[in-house]
Amino acid sequence: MRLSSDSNDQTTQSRTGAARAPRLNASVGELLRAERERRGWQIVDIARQLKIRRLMLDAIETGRHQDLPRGAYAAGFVRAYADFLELDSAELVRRFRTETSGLEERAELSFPTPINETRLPGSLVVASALLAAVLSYGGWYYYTLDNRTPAQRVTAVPETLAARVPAPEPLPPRSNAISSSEARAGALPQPIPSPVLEAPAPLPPAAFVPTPAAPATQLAALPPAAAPASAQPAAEGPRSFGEPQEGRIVIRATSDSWTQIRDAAGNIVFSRILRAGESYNAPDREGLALWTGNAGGLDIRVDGRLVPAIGRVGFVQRSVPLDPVRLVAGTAAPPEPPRPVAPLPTAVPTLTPAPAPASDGSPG
Amino acid sequence: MFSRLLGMLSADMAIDLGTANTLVYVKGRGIVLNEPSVVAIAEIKGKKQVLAVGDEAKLMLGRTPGNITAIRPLRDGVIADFEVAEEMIKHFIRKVHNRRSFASPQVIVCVPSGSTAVERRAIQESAESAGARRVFLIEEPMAAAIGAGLPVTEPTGSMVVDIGGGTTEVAVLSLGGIVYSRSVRVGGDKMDEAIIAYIRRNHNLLVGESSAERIKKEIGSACPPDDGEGRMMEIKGRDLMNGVPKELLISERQIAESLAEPVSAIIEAVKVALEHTAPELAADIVDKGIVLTGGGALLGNLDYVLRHASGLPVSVADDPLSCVALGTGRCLEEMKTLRNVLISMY
Repeated sequence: MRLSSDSNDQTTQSRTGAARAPRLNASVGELLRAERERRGWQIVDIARQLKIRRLMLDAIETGRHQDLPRGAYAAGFVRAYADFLELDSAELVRRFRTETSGLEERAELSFPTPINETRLPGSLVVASALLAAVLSYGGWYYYTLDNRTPAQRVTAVPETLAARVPAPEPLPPRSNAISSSEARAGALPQPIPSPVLEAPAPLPPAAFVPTPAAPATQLAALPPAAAPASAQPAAEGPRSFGEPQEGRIVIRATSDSWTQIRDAAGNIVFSRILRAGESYNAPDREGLALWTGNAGGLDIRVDGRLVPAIGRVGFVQRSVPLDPVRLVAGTAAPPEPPRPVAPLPTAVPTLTPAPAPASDGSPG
Repeated sequence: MFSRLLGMLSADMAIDLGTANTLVYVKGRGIVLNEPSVVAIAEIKGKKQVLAVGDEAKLMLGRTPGNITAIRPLRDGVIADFEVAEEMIKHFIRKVHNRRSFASPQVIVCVPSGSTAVERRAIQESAESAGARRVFLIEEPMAAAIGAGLPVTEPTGSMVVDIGGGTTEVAVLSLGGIVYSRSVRVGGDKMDEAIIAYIRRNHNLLVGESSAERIKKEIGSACPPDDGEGRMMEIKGRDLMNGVPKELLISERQIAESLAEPVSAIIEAVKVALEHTAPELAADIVDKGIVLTGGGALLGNLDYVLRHASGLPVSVADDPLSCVALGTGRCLEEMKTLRNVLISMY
C-alpha cells in the first residue's frame, strides 16, 4: 500500500487505537480522505463521478457506518471509491469489513411468511377434544357392551330331555377304530361327534352321551354312575332357588333372565336374575305370577314336563300366572305381538312337548 | 427409505451450471470445484466415450484430432447438448464424492431467469439422470443477489446485474422475490466472438476462442482509455490472407472498440430494467445502486461505463465469479428458510 506512507503522519494523532501497528492504525475512511485531499479533490466531485451520494461518501470517510446502506452495498461503495482514487481496493474493502464486522453481520435472510390465517384451533384444543371424543366413545361402548343382550347360545339340553334326543344309529363299520371302541362304549361312553346325528343344534357332550352301539333304551337306562365323571359336576353345578324341594313348577333359565315371582297380593316372593342353568322351584301356592325380562330364556316345567314357552327370547312377560293347568295348556302367557323381524337364528329351538316317556334320569 | 439411506451417503450439492464455468458448492464444505464447462468426447470404435471434463478438456478445445470433440454442452446459459451435459454433471457428482458409488445427492442447479420451461426441464432431467436424488432449480439473479450479500428479503429494492458466460441477467429484487428480471443472451462468449470478429475484420487474423478469452481477460475494457492506445498485447493466430500462423500486437483501445456492441447490449438491458421498475423501488436503487456479479463484472471499466450510462452508483460484488455458486450454496444450507426461492419443475 503505497498510501500508508502518506497517511502515517496524519494517522499518528488519529483517534483510532494507537496500540495497533502503524500501517494499520488508520481507518479506511481516513485513508480515503487523506488520499482524496492529497489529490486535491472535493468530495462533491467524487460524488458526481461515482454517482454515490455525498452523504454516503461522507459517512465512509468519517466512519459513520450506520448511515451506510446495509449488506454488500457499503463495501461496494468503498471499493468504487478506492478504485477511483487508485488505491488497493481489495485490501481496503477487507479492512472496511473488519471495521464493520460488529455492525454488519451476515445479512439474515428471512422471507416474509404469510400470517397464519387458518381458523384451526390450537393443537392443545384439538388434542383435548380428541381425548374427550375417545373417552366418551369408550364410555359409550363400555356402557352398551354391558347392556347388550349377549348372543344367545343354544343351551344344554336338560338331562330330562337327553333321552328324547334320537340316539345315533349304529355307525356303519367304517373303520376298525370305531368298531373296536364298541366294547368300551358301554362302560365309558365317549363324546364322539357323530356325523349322522340330526340334532337341532350341536349339543354339549354333557347332555348328549352318544353311544354308537347302545340302543336308545339302553341309554335311558344308563345309571348315573355310568355317566362320565366330567358330566357330573356340570349337572350339579347350577344353583336352584325357591323351595328346597322341587314343587310342581320349576322355572329353569336357559339364558340369563330377570325373573320375579309375586304372590296374589303383589308381594315379591322372589326376584333375581337367573343365570343360565339356574332354576327356581316355585312354591305350590295359588295366585303366584311370573314377571320376566326374557320370556324365551326360561324353561318352565310342570311336574317335570316342559310346557310351551311363554315367549321368545328377550320378550318381556308380565304377570304370567303360575297355574299348572294353564301353563301346560300354553295359555298362561298373553299372546306376544307379532315379531317385527325374522326369528333370530340364535333362538332356542322350541321343543315341542311330545308325549315322551318321562325319564328323570338325572335330577336337576 | 432407500433414497434417504443413499442421501446419508452423499453430500448435497449446489451447482452453478454456467456456460463458461461450472462451480460446485458442497454442503458444509463450500465451493469445492470450479472448472470450465467443457467435455471432451472420444469416439472409439463408433462408441462415444468421455475423455476428459473440465480443465483438462478445456485445453483440448479447438485442438482436437478427428476422433475427439471438445464440447461445451451449455450455450446461452441453457443446455445445448443434453447427453454431454448429463455426462458432465455425472462427472462432477462423482468427483465431489471421490468416485464413491451410491452417491445420490440433493442438488440445486441455477437456471437463467429468461430460460423457458423446456430448458429448465432439460437441466432438471439431466441432473436427475446424472444421479441426483432430488433436483431443485433457482433463478440465477436470485442466487447471485443472495451470494453477493444483498438484502433480498427486505422490503427494499435491490438491483443485480449478473454477467455470465452466456447470458446477462438484470433483476430487481425485493421481499425475497424477483420484481423484474430481464435476461439477454449476451455475455462473455459474445464478447469473445466480438473480439474474434473484430480481429478478423481489421487484421485478417483468425484467433481461437481460448485466445480471444485470454485477450478479453488481459486487456479487455468496456470503454477506450482516455488517451493513447492503452495496454498492448501480442496475439497469435492464422493469417487469413496467406494462411500462415501470424503474431501481431493489439491495443486496449482496439479491444474496447470491438467490445462496444456487447457492452452496449448490457447497458441497454439495464436501462430497460430500470424503465420497468416501480418508482418506490427505483428510489431505493438510486440510493444503493446496482451490484455487478458474474465474470463479466471483471471486465475493465464496465462499472464506470454503467455508472455513466445509468447515473446510478455501480459497485462490483466481492468475488463476482462465485456469487451465484455461493448464493445457491446458501440456499442449500438454509433449505428450510429459503425453500420458497427454489423451483421444481414437477
